[in-house]
Amino acid sequence: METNFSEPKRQSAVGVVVMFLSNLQGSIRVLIFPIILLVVRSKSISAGYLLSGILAFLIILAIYSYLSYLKFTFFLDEEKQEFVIQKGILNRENLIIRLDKIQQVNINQSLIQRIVGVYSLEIDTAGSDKKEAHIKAIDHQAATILREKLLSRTFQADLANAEATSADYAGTDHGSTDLASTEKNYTTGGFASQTNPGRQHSSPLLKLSSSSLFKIGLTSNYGASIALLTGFIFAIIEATKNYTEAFKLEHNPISQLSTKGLGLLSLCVFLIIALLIVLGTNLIRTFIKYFDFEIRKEKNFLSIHSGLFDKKHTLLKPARVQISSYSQNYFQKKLNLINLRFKQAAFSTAADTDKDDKKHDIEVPGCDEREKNEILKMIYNRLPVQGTAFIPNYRFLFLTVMLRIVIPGLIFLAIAALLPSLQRYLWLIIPYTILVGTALYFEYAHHRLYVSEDFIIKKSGIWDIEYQTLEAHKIQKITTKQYFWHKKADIGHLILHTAAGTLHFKYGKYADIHHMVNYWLYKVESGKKDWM
Amino acid sequence: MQDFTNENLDLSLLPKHETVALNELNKKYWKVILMNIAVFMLIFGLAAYLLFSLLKATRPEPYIFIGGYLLTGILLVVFYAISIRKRGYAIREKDLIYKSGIISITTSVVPFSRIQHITLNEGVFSRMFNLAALHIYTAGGISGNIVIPGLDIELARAIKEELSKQVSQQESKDNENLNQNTTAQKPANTQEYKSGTAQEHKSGSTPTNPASNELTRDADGN
Repeated sequence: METNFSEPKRQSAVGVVVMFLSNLQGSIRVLIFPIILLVVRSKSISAGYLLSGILAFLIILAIYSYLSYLKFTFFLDEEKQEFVIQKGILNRENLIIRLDKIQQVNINQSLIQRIVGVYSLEIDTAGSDKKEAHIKAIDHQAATILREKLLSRTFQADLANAEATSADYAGTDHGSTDLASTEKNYTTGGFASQTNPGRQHSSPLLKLSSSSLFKIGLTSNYGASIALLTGFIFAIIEATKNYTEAFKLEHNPISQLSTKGLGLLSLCVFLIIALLIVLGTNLIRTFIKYFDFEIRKEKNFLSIHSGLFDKKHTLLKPARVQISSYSQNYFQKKLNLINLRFKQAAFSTAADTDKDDKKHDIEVPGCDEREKNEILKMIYNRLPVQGTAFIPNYRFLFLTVMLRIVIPGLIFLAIAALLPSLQRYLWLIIPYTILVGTALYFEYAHHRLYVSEDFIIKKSGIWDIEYQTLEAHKIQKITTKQYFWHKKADIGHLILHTAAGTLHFKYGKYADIHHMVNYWLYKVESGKKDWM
Repeated sequence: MQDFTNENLDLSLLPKHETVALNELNKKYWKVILMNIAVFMLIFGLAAYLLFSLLKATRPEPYIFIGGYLLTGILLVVFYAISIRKRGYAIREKDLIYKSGIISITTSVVPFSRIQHITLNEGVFSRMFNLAALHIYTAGGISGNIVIPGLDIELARAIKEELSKQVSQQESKDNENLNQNTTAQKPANTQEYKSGTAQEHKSGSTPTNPASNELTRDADGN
């Protein structure tokens, strides 16, 4: 296999097939509805015309794919430390990526690529420009070698950081002499040592078996599945409505159902079926996404594989992690199952939208306490300490109770006063108040901030209790906030801004918050540690 | 637990960001705000008039429109008059503070070492009074930015120069590290370089006494 990337190189020859199929997929996704509409509306079009039209389209697409394959070349300019991609059939586009700007290189495999036997390589750059480099077809060996070459510079820089941290925590098991020798290996042995197949057999830090995937599927992500399902149900109801209206059926089973009301038994059956469907979709989603999930420790980074159809391979560098969070709900606690999530810098420095970018998140769907600690130790060089706890003031409950219980209740009362038909549902306010009240109380009881010398841990959540861990030197900006009527009570809010989102601590003692802020500012400004 | 309470002693000696005396915005900024309000009221008035003429069929009360219009104007002026007095900024040796807000008083602090870049924005009205707004960007996205409006243009330029200098110093230091790293790839240099950085990092990471830190800041006049 050719491993020299200094000459302009094309993708794997089978890349034509991948390009053709992905182009086809893309155009079908865009064109399917207009085409169906066209076919249905104008019944006069004969099948012959239609077929020849499709054939012509396929041929054009094939030619287009072939040309774009021919014109897509990439090479590594070792001298300038740049990676260059050239593409475009009519307009030549030159994409130049400086190696030191690369933050992550992912090797993925979609279903199509798996059938053909190639991989895709995605380069994530640390720039505000949204240009993304994406090689669609490359064989595995070339991909891994190219990745190591691309990342060599970044990991070099990382090593210096690692050394800095190890010097900091001289007490931990990473002695500086130990690390120095590792570095020697690293620089002299080069990356060739990494490519030797022996490392593949190093035992993984974490491997998810089917049974743990099953547990994960049963206990997590209800929200997403329910949302998916309700959307689906509404679509079905809408469709049947149209269908019955179109065919002028007298009895629409669903509208009949909704007008006559459901019997208690059928309601129970319906609920059970809905529950089963939710759990089923959850399970399927979990298996597709996290099948064969595996984390390995490689030198100073974590390598993560997963996926049933689309294989994903990600490298996680500990220094890049901004916030790490782990969460558990009641069932998961019983099963000793923890959901871990690492948030990386989202790089929206420019005038970009402030939506939190989930794309950069790396999720470990399930692990136990010991594995969690192992991974966190790997990331932070030691285990995050839960320091002094800070508890929010009871006023935390006032505003939320007003907003979620009192005001909705009053609105409902007002509407009921205007519409007498609603008055027999007034009792619903009581269970609503109890339910929301308990939820709010738990939200308050779980709202905690733990501060130790180097770590900030924020606990929150109602059902899923989440612990977000942040190192003090990863802070970008600190905001403190106080409503003027809280001045006397000495209560205020704290917002910590990081490159991967914000942490809020509400209704804390303002004097305490000031102390913490001063301490963190001192930490950030006196420390030599960079945030990335 | 114990660790942190130990730290508490030091905490009281740390420089306090909440007691720093803040600089006010330029007095002329009030005029800019008034002009902005005037433009807004003009557009708002046109929209209200349009609505009024569209609703003519229903015979709306013109006094409600006029009253609402005037009330909005007065409220805007009053709110901004209060808000402008509540705003302030301070530049310390190692960070920048901006405070604002009427109902919720917000104080933001950005350490210089976390600044990504800085821009200077001059609006149409601001330029008439030689004012500018300083935008300070961090890697924290939109919410991680700070905008300080109503600075005298010369002052804003001076601040920008100074901050940019600090930021680029930081960066050049980083690059130095990086270059050293690439040279370290040659085995001959490795040993030398390694000892060098290890030393540097070690000395850098020993926490300086917070009290002395405060003293240097005090000496600087903050």
